Amino acid sequence: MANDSDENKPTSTAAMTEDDLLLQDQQLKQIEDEQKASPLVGDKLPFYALAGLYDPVSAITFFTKANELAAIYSDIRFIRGDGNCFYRAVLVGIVEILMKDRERLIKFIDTGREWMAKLVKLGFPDWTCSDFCEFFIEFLEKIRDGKYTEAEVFQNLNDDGTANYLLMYFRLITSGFLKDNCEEYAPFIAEGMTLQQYCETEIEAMWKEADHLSIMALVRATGIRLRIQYMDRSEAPNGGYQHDLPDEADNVTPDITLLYRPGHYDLIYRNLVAQ
Amino acid sequence: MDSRASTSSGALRALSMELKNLQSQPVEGFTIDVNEDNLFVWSVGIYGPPKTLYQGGYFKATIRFPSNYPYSPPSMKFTTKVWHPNVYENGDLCISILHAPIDDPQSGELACERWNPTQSVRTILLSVISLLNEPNTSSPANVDASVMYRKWKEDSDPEYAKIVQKQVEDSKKVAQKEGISVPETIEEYCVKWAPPQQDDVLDGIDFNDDYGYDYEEEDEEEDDDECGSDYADDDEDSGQGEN
Repeated sequence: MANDSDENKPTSTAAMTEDDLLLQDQQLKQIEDEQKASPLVGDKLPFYALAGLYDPVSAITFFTKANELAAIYSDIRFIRGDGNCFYRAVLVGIVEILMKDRERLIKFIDTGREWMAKLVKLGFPDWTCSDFCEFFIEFLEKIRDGKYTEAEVFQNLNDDGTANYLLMYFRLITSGFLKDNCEEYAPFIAEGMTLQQYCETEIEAMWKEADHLSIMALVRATGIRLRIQYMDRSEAPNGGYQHDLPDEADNVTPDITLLYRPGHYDLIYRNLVAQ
Repeated sequence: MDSRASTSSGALRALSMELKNLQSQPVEGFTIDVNEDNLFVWSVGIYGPPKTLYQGGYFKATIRFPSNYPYSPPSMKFTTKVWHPNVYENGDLCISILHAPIDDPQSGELACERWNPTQSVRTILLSVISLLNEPNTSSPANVDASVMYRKWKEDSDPEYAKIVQKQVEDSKKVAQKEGISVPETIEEYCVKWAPPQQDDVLDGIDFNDDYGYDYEEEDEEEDDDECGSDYADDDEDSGQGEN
């Protein structure tokens, strides 16, 4: 689970013929079976579960860091490593906030409607994109109207059919934000690619991992305060380096904290008692 | 199979919505026939666009959807013989929109109109119609057809047009047998349906129209697919039985 970012890229091959498709379906089945062991969104576990993944001898750096971080963080939700982990962690984090904050929930629904109109205006394919947006808005409305228990919300977040539809909303607004601020962000796109192409192939496509640009865009598009807690082999005091978005300086309590281990994001929660 | 159930439910939802949408607002030049028992396989009929080599032709194809549609693209295979630079001899169609984006953005391959979940059968069909008349010869699936096409375009060899016209004539017989009247004029070809009134979500929202790039742009020319090498000896495919 530590580094699983590459395990689910079933569609990144080139020419899809019928034979490929059958083969791909078989591979998908295999991957799916393997992944049944790890749900899309794990239950909230004590943070010490993280240290348990590492051997105290052969993986001493990670083991030590995980234990250091356990002084700051109380819980962790493991997210499936299928290339969607960043978007999924944010989706889950936001839904958790919205379940507790009605005012913010109502505002988020309104923002969803604004995004739907904006995406169409930005030239996104109307029919498919509106469907993803409407699906997400309806999901939030059901939470608003008390039609889901918390358990049912998480059931939805763990059901491929529903969860990936919801996730597409976040990919779309990430892409929409960059396209809407094209002039500002185009210079950061690698040579040989336009911002439009980057959005279509790296963000709007499923199972593509988020990079720094898309992380920034999603943070801005949703208006959340995000902390990324890094846990890698580099030496850093107090368990590792952390990074706050959108603004490093404002030093306010983040809405959502993600744990980054090379190639993967999980959702973590601060130890409120210790604060 | 039960492990697929959850995955397929999303696909079924998307497919039935698309089907409904295409039935109420058809794409001109296409007929769609779907067995409701299996939404993952669609039969389509393509009318050759008027004023092209393909005028009057009736080409049949099968679209197959993966269980995780719309996150992964469908495949499309002609069941009518089609001599075309981007169609393999076994009928498999090679077009960028049916390919997921390549993995490495640094590889220099231009990612042109690749599959992502914002695409749909509608956008695929529109791409197919445009590809029919304007082949992408930079990465041909059928090299012979591609060479022939170039020669025909340069007016040095009429063979390409001859073969296509022969196929068009053959396909007309099939159409006749099936009682299908293929539209031959632009007026007939353009489907008469009233465009739905935009239920205008945009009213009252003021967006700046100038985004500095053109979403309508079609740049098939720059397409750089990885087609053309992998399937040469793999043609004995008779997997049409499910229909």
